[in-house]
Amino acid sequence: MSVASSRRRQWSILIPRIVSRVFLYILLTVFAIVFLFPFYDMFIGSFMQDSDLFSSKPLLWPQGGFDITSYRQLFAELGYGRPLINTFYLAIVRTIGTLFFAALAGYAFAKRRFPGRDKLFFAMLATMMLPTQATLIPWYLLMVKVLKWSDTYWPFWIPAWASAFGIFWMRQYIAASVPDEMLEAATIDGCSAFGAFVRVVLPVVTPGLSVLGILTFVQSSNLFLGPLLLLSDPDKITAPLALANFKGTTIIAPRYSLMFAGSTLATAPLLIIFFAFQRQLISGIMSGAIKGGA
Amino acid sequence: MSDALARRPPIFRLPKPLWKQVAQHWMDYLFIAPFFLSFAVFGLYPLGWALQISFSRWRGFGPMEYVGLENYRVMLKDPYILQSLVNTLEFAYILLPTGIFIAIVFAVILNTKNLTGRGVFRTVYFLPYVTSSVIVAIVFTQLFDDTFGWINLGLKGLGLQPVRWLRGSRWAAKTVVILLTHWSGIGYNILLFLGGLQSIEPEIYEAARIDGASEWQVFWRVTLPLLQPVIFFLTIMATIGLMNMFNQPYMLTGGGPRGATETLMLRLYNLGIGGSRYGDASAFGFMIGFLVIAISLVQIRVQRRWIG
Repeated sequence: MSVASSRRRQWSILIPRIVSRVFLYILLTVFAIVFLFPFYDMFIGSFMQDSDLFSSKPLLWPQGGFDITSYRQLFAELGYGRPLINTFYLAIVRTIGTLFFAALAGYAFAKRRFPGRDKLFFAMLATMMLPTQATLIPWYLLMVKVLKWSDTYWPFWIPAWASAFGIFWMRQYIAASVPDEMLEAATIDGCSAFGAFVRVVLPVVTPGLSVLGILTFVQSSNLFLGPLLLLSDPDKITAPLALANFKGTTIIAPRYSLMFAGSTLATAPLLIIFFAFQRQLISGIMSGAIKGGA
Repeated sequence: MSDALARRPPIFRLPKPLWKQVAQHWMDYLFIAPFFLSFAVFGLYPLGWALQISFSRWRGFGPMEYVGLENYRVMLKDPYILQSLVNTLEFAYILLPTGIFIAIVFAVILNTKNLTGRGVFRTVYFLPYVTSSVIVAIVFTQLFDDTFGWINLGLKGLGLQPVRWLRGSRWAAKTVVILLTHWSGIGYNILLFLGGLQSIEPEIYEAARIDGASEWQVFWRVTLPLLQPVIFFLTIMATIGLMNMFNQPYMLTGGGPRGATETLMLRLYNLGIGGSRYGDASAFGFMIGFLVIAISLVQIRVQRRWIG
């Protein structure tokens, strides 16, 4: 009798708990579908013919079978391979430069002692508040009229390499993960400041560099406003710009299958990189929140 | 006598003159020099130039004609400018609180103890962050298509009238821009709040529960106050980001219908790049810039008062 009542009491605790768990999972799953469906729609739509895309009801599966005409057309007629390669070329060079200068300056700000260090660091952070709106027009004029850098990638490399955000990120990482003793030992062994950087700092900070590298690579591959202002040569444009042009030049009906195929090709590499590094990336951003917020 | 003085070991070492210290650390300055050089060339110089252009009439060639505050006066009277400002602020004050609210709810859910699959959900919500906003806009254009889109199919399934999303009413188009922005950015917010939640010591929760606090009270009295630094950090960063909103309206609506989704950045682009009105656009850029700085400063001041 007492056993039965205690069992009943157990159930009375368990059932609301199970119900609330089920409710949570339903909520999380619905939300997950909202996030995944556009990706699915893009992917499956890239294999559809216009008769599928413009049928009376949107379809979840290509009615006329998987059709790769759009992919073939992208490469054969529209030369989409070029923008695709351009995008990753632009992004890789931008990322490598950013990592180098961020690690170097981050090391100086984190571990070296020199007059005015903290004031300079603060000044660098303050420049992040400078609104891009105020400099957009003269930046454009500087690139086009003074430096004659339109249809080159220099505007996306040189000003971006020494980025305040990257330096800040690496400073925080180096300050937390490189022990002073190691640097002192290296100095005693006769390493210069740069020698200590190459032999001691760089090997230790690879995890921090890889997170910054992925963030930079993703953002560089998705750049839009800058390329829109400065790139017009079909041999120089990047994938987002090419896709925007597909949308802009379609006068009759938007060629969704073509745009979807191009989007799938541009997104796939980023998703692969993201999945390969997602654990480091996510924990990196989460810890960044604490440092940035506090 | 002077010899004896010189031979005596120095007791008080005079601080070296500054230039000597600087010279001694030349390598450190070399390490940080690239940032300051590139900021001077690509940040400060354009800023000074913009100031000059903003007081001139200039179309990119020939001599600049000094016109004083004329450009600023023209910009302040321009009805399109006012509309783009109102649009941008509307987007910001809808997106900011809802974005923070939704993100906190999902971060708290994902932070539940023993929740299997937490990592999978976290990853899925973050996926749009790595996707180009141009591509997101293309997909959303199809999802919200008047006749062939999933959203209107869903509305019809629920027995509702289909909506002309992108070329119909002003609020329909605004709604699509808002949904797209949330879809792209909310995963990042969730991650920030998850990071904030995980930095809260479990002992604080235990103490609150021992004192007999209900789950609601724990959330309002413990969790939310401890998340405040993240909320403020996000508010400041997101405000700057939203004042820069360009890609979404450019791709989705081109600013339409009837200017309903034209943001400050889109207006600036149309003025300066589309219309080559460099003087007007520079003056306009400065005014937006001051506005953004002023908003950020107010936010920082409020934050100081709030958290102390």
